[in-house]
Amino acid sequence: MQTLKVAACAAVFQSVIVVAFPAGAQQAPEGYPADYAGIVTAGIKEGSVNVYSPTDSEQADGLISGFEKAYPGIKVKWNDVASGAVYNRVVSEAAAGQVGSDVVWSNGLDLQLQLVEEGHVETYKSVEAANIPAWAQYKDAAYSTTVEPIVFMYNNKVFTDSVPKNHKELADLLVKKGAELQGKVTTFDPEKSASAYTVMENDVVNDNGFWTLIDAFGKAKGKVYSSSGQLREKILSGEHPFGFNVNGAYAKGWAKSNPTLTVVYPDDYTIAASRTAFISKDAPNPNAAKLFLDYMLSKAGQTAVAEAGLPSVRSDVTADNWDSVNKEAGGKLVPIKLDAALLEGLQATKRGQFFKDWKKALNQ
Amino acid sequence: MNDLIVQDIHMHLGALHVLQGTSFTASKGQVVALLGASGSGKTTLLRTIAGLEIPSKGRIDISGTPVFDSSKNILLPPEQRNIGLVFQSYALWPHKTVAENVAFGLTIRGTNKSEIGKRVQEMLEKLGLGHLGDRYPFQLSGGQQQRVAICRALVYQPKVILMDEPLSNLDAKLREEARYWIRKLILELELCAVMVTHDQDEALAMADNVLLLKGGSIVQSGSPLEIYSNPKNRYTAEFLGNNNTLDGNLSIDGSKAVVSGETWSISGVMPEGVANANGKAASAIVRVEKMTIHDQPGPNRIAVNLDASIYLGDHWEYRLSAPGVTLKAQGSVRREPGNVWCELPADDVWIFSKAS
Amino acid sequence: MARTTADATGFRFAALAALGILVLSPVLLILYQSFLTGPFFSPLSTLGLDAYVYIFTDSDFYRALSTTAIFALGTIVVCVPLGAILAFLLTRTDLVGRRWLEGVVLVPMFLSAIVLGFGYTVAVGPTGVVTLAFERLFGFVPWNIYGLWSLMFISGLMHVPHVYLYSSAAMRNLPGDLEEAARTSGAGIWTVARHVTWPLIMPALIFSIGLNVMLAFEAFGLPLVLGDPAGVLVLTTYIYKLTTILGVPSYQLMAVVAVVLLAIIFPLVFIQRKLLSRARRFATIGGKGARVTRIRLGKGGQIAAWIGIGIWLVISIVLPIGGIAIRAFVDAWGAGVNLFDHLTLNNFQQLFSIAALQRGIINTLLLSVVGGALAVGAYLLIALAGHRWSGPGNTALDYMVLMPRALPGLIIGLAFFWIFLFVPFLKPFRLTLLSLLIAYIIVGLSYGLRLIQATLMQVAPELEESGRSAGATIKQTWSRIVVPIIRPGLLGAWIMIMIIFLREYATGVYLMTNGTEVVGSLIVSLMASGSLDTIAALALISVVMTTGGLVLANRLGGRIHE
Repeated sequence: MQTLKVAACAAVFQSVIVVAFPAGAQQAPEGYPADYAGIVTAGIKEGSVNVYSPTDSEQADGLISGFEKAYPGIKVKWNDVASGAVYNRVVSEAAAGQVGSDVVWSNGLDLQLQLVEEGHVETYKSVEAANIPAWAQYKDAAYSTTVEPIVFMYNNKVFTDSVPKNHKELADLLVKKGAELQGKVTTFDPEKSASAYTVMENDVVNDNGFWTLIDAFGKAKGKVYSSSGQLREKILSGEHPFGFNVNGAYAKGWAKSNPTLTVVYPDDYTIAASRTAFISKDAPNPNAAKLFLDYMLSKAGQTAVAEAGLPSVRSDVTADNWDSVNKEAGGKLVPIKLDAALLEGLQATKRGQFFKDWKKALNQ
Repeated sequence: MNDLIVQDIHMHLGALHVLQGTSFTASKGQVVALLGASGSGKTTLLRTIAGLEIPSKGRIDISGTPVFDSSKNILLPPEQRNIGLVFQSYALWPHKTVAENVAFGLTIRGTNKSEIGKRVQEMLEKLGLGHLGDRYPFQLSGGQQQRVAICRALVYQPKVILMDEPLSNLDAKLREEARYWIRKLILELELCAVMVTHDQDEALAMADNVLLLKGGSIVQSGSPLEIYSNPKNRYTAEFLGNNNTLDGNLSIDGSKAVVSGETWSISGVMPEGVANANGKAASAIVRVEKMTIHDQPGPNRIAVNLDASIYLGDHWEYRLSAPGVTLKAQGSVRREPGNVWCELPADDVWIFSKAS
Repeated sequence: MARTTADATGFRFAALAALGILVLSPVLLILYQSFLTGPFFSPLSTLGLDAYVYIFTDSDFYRALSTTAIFALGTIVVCVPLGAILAFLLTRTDLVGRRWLEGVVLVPMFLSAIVLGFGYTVAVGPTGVVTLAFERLFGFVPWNIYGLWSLMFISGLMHVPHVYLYSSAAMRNLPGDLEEAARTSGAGIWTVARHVTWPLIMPALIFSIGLNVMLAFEAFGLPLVLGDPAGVLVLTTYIYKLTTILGVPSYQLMAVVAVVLLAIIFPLVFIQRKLLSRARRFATIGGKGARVTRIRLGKGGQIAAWIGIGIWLVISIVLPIGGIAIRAFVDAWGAGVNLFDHLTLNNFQQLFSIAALQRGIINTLLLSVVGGALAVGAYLLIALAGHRWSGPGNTALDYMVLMPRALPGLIIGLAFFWIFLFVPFLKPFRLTLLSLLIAYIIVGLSYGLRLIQATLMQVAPELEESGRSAGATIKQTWSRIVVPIIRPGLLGAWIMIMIIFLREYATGVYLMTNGTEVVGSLIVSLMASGSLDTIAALALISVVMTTGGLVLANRLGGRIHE
């Protein structure tokens, strides 16, 4: 039924194209190789592109409309797939021989790479690859598209202590004023959120005092939550006025509309999380998928994403980008690289050890 | 002393005035029957006494205690009225055994356990149910269920017992038996009983005092004998017994009233008094069993044609007709169809003007 | 053969089989998955007990299991007596304002638990509006909404409508003379309730207990919001952890926990059936269908009842919905915030800028109104199939009714996602609302079917028998006599199912796709990006819409309860 619909759509668009482009052939976008025109023509013929993403369509709005404007005739079908459900959806559909996604764009970096390893991803060297930093690319298949600094956020009306500027100061504060700060500090729960786990894994790498921090956090009866929404609400209301490992891309927007909230970029290191995109193997619209992925990585696409609050990995984008975020972070921005370390984090033994330590620190 | 006084009870259901100032009294060892057609308000009246319906006006005393008095704002809930109520459906609790059903009223009153056991067993035995205490209601026959319902209402020795059509769910044979033993039980226990019935035989057989209701008012009350043989109005006359009705014109001659039809005229008494209705339409009503058949004319006899004789076991019924009239009479012998005279004894003929 | 048609056995078995397929296919899939070492569709998976070993040696599992059992018990201890009292007051007494209350008592059901939890946080959380005001006035706060005690208390209050709904339906069914007989024997109102009314509606109460045990075992939203911050781990939040704890989603572990949840069904339904085996004692006795005279509470009684109901209303409706309403109109709240400085309508404007949300609202309305009607139709067919049908069929029905309730919505959604993906002839329907509808029908089964079954039982057998003796077949009797008689009951069930479908959130998480978004599941993704302003506005709109729908239905003559 779905394929029927797609075919029907394609037929309609084809006739539209014939009217719009009497020449019948497409031009490649500026700077792209000439044979790209073939992909454009084929993509338009396909008529639509299915995107699976936990990023809600509100935030992706600029990206979608920008793409549809750049390639009239290709409709973006946005699928709101919860972060924990992306992997399942992709592997299940592949196993059933009913791949539904063209492009998958998720903040679950480790599982995105796992999907590459499991062969669910189409290898495609993006024409924009040269403009994307190396840490943001994996095996010519997966590309990180955003820079989302992991920051501290606090409620400046309620949290009146001297504000810790880095992880060490936070740990010290928790040790020193543990009694006063009982239940006042919060963070993302790595047991319930895969991306929170990935971030903490990087914390462990970047900060040899990390377990001291978690230990002090546990002693101070710190609270953990499983979604940005809960974190934000708890800090906003002053229930837990201080939070660490908050997604700074969101936090910056919240602080802008809410003067009560202040964002701190830890000055020892600031991890940059991201969301990674790839083209699915056996994608129903493989050409449109390429167009969309390239557009996401292009200056125009990156600008659209950055303007929606998710800073760009490209330095030539005038909106928030790697450089501007890095400047705010005092040059201490550390990206989560798309590499084997991410995959190691998925190993049961490594995870088991982490969670054992985590629980021990927390349940005291 | 009257155990039950019901005084000027009014009740409204929406715009409907279902009880229109009903009053009566009853004392112990007495059975009052509330008799009436359906919709006459008899069940509603009973329920107001029980406290299940709230009248808008009036006063009810039970055993000398006012349980309802609209002028003094007194309204006792049903559980404080110390009455026994037997429902038409018996309303036995299906989740309790027979013994538990009967024991309930005692338990509520805080009677101690051994006393309860004793009294429940006594009560059940009195009504021949001694062996059924452990059964559940659905395991009993209709007659047994009815007796359980009565046990349940009597076990805590209320002064007043109310019964809503207590016999209507029994078959004819059982019903006749029950009339007798229930009345006997009431007299024996010196209860004051009020029962609702639509069956005149039941009312006449069981009650000391019959109240005939119509449209929420008492039409006539009195002993069974009085209400049957001395109806004060047309409704009472027609509601009870088997009757012949002859419609004609009234003429009044002194104290004597006569109703005349095309070919006949009958004299009788006017229980409602001699109204100024000379020449108006009127009806003569006479009980079937008072009619006699004769072979020649005589006083207060009318010439009729005997159409048929019907055999009814203990007697014959004759179907009679005259122009504009059909009548029934009874006799002990079969009669051949033909011309006869039937006599309506003047003292037993009640004449009511048509308007009433 | 003649007998077969007379009993409609063919139809009965067909309906039972259809239900069996719908209920058992996800159940069996999960059972199968629990015995594998990986996803069932992966060629690398083999049969094995690894998942069971993992779960049964995990101390967190036992902690979660025992906490959940205590939580379920606590919920029941609170909700069953209160629901039964409420039903008694509203159906049997002359409580002032009862007509109005009949609708209001259902309001706690309007909100999904997760939204409700946030409402509480805003109202009476540590920095809640009420909490801060109380602290200002008295200098201390005597409550803490986090922890097992408050979780049980709030969950108990939330589930009062569930008990109320089933017991009030049964009470309306009860001939009034049974209670009047107790009154005239000298019993006061509460004695009547204790000795007559409640024992007689025992089947409804026992079903409510069973249902609420399952609801407690399956509850996710409230334990997440109110339990998690205090470290209270229940089975559903434990499942949540399992999805990430091993890195790659480990469905076999989730499946094992789901199997444990399913296993709870069997003793529960067994006890239920045992308790009701002498059901005949509870069967309604013909009755004259006379007007029920309401018990007069008197002035003191009215006041006492209203104080109790008032407290319940405040805690279970005013606080959470008030919290959501406040949150919908401000952009900041909590300690040190003057709400009046932060009033805004922006939260509502955001709603209209999200295309998926607009589709979601339309889909949700479609699913709940049209889908709800279809669901009620399906439940009716199943209920008729089991109606006055003794034998193994009915036993199977009893178990199958509660089975879907044992599975968390997320897992049912996942199972149906797989079924629609891997069963060849279902493929075309996966990307349509139909897949959601079928999952929803299963989720709503225990609520809806039992309501309709109860309504069917109200039809006196004589009415059906007279139809049969007048020459109608059993199917004609059903369609010409039974169904028209229970039409108000069906309307009530429809409204109830609509409410449940409106607030459902977990089931759609795996199933929804572009074009089939539903509001409940969109809330889950909004939560991830932190848009609680939008969520509050959305939740408030849905409460207003549901209330409006309910009032309208009431006006149109449908009564919720019959």
